[in-house]
Amino acid sequence: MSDENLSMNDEPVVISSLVVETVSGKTAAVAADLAAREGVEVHETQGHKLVVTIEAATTGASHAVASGFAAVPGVTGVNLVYCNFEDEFAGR
Amino acid sequence: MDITRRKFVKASAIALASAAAGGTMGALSGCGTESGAPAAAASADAAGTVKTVGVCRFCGCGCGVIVEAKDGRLVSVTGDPENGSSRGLNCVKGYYLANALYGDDRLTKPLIRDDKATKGTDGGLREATWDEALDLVAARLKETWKADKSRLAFWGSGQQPIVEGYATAKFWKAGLLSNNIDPNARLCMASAVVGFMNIFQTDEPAGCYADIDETDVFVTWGANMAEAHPMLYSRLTARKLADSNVRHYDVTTLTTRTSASADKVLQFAPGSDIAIANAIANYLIQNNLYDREFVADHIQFKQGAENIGNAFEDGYDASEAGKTVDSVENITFEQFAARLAPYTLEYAEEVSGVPAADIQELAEVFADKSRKVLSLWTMGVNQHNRGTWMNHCIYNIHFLTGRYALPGDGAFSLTGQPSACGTAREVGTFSHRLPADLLVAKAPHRRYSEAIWNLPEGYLDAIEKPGMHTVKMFRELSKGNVDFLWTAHNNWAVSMPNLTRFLGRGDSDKQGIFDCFICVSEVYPTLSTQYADVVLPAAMWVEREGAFGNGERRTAVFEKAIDPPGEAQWDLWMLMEIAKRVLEGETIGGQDAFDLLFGAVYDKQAGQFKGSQREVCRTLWEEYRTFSNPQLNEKAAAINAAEKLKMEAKQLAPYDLYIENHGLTWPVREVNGQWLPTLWRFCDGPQEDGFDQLGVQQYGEQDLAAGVSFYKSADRKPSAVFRPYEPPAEVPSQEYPFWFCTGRLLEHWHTGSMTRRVPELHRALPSALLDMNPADCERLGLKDGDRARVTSRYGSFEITVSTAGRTVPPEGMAFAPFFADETLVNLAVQDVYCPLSKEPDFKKTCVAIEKI
Repeated sequence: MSDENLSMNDEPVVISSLVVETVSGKTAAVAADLAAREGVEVHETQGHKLVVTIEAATTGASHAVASGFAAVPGVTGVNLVYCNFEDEFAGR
Repeated sequence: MDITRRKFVKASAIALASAAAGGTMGALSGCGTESGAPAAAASADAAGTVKTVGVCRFCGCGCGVIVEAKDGRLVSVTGDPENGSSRGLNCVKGYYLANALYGDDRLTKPLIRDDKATKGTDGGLREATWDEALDLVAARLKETWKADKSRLAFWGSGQQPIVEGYATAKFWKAGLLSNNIDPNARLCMASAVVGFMNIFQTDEPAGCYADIDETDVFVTWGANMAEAHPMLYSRLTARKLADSNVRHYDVTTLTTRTSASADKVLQFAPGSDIAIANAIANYLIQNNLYDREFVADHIQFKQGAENIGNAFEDGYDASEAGKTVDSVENITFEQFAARLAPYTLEYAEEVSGVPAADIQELAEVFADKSRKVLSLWTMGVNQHNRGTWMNHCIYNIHFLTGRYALPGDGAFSLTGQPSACGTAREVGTFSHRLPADLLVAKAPHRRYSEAIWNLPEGYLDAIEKPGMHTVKMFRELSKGNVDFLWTAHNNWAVSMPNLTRFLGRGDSDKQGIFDCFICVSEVYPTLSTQYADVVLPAAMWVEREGAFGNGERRTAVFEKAIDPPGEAQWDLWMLMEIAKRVLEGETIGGQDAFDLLFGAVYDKQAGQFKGSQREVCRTLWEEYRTFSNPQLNEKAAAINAAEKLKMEAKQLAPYDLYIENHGLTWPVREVNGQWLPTLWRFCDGPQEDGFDQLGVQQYGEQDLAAGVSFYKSADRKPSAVFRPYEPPAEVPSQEYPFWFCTGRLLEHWHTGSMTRRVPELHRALPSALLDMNPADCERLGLKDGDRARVTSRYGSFEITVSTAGRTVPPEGMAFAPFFADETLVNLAVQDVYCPLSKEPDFKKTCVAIEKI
């Protein structure tokens, strides 16, 4: 994790992590596609599974990003593991 | 979030996802354990957040979650890697588990309707104190009870947590001596339940979710797992990815997202699945492709009542056909084969429209013993005018091929609600049941329950006759024959079929809904609260402690994490307060009735529980657990031994172990002071590996074919029952030329009363659309976005048409989900039910569709 990704620390942030499942042989291509998306980082590849985090302003924005994964060729499953939204509620 | 906290949160996020993926970054976070799992239950970290163990509130998968709260609000939800059902994963609804608690219109005060004429409108409810609301509800219940207890009813749910369901059933059955209690699970899995009882004499699946990881061939029968059971479907697709030889056959009436992973889709005419299943069984026998050893060791054969008609009329159950639907007789294997003989592949093709070659291919898949086969089914099978029969037919195939109760080889009815198994079925909140599979109609079962509930012998003989099942309850209500109804954890005004009748919107039966006194316990305003005389605001999910039992026999506790908003209260408190008022002055066997039933947990004078929520849940659980641990009660143990009830066959563990272990699958066996769960029921093998070693040793027979022993079944042999193809209750006609099918879609769970409060989920699926085939649209002059009126002989609704929806119906069929109360598709859905299970057929209403 780079500090560059943590520079916007005064804005609300929802941090979530997911396991994205892919078709064998397309894992690297999917990883590259996801990593190019705003707020998305790919941290690890385990077989056909990718460990991914999303940082976005709201739960809804996180969900929108995650929902977009399903349309990436080679993605067969998007599984939410963790979602922290303490900033979002703090802002209410 | 400051940078230190943000780093910590992100490291945690990575660690947890890595652990769920089986990766190596689980130790990144200081908050994780070695496995990457969050620390133990109810632990606090340096930032002042508190983590508790939970289970998802939505579907029947039963995914484990770790809930994190700070300053009285939830701040994160994590898939629980230590929960054996979900292993750290959640579907996309997991994003919004917490948000579902924070809709703007949470009910926070009791509400009372003074003018019944305002029912069915947005208005008419005023705020009240708890005392006023409870006094009113209790007075009306007591008045009805004293006048004619056949006119009161409780409609519960597969979302009601276990100990609350247990306490409700105890109050209704032992306190009020009424069997007029039924759950909404009657609408979703009663056919599976009756199938289990008929076939195995025990209500339980033998397999578990791990079968999905071990099988070679999936057969989905009337199941849209991709939308309705996303976590399990994710495991299905993962299994397919892991091995390119794994196959999936989707047996369905319409193309769904689940069809996307299928190697072959067998699309059949509605109701003809029994002909297909029988043709497969016949093919196996005719070609000597069945497992003779398994059949000889384990299976007995039967046939039952046939030509049983359909439950159109209110009097069906009491008719000659209705009274005899459960009758069966033993037949030989040869007779069974002869009954199947007419079901040739060609006949099945003629009835179903599925090519004979495809049916033969599926039959040969079942015959190939080099590969494991797992059948999975949901509402297409259960919500069926012959739902119980279709359950039988699937098991028949698995019995003939020796594929049941083995890892990866099994037949599994998936449940739709978080505690349909744990509460509705295991606790016994059905109109014919007592806890732990016991039946009100059987005297030894009543004696056993009396022993545990400390009731005088014979006290429960007053409830030997089953009460009103769900459809009967609402049919009688609409006719003005129910004076008091209490509902909780459901939204009947949207989820029931034939709402035109039940909401008094038809030409007859208009007054029942207005005259009946209706109490609704709820968390949000719903269409059901619009018909309530009193609304009791309930604490939701982790605002209290509770437990769910999911589809694989896994019991899991969710701890209290935060307080409920406003004056919302725990449902169990409502029950205690109403019970104490109704039972005031009543005695049972010379003792105060309330204290006898609930004195162990509630001080009625003080109006409060005797201990914390944890202690109350533990006390009630330990009492309930006695049903499956008869040695804890001397009198019960004697009855169990004398009547050979085998009650410990479904043994449950002490309460706290479910928290420590993040859920356990029953039976949970005590071995040298350790409690070991069971994954594969009736399958011999090491108990510590999840097999049913102790059960087979105690009650069964070892070294039989396939290493299984069905020790709960009569003569240790489950029944293969021949069931013929009989057509749907109604078939398309000139007047009503289309089949209409309804069901669930991913974003909205059931009637959307929770998920539609989450703006993101609402935006993702804002309204119910009528999925239609393009050819039908063209013929009717309809295009995407047009409004159409859908009319059946039951009622009508208006809806927007789509040819680009989630499902792709064949010509002559349309589909719409039922979550949207502004559309209310159930106004037109038939309330005809399976004559055996009394579960309505939501999948085959005949309708006309016209452009408006």
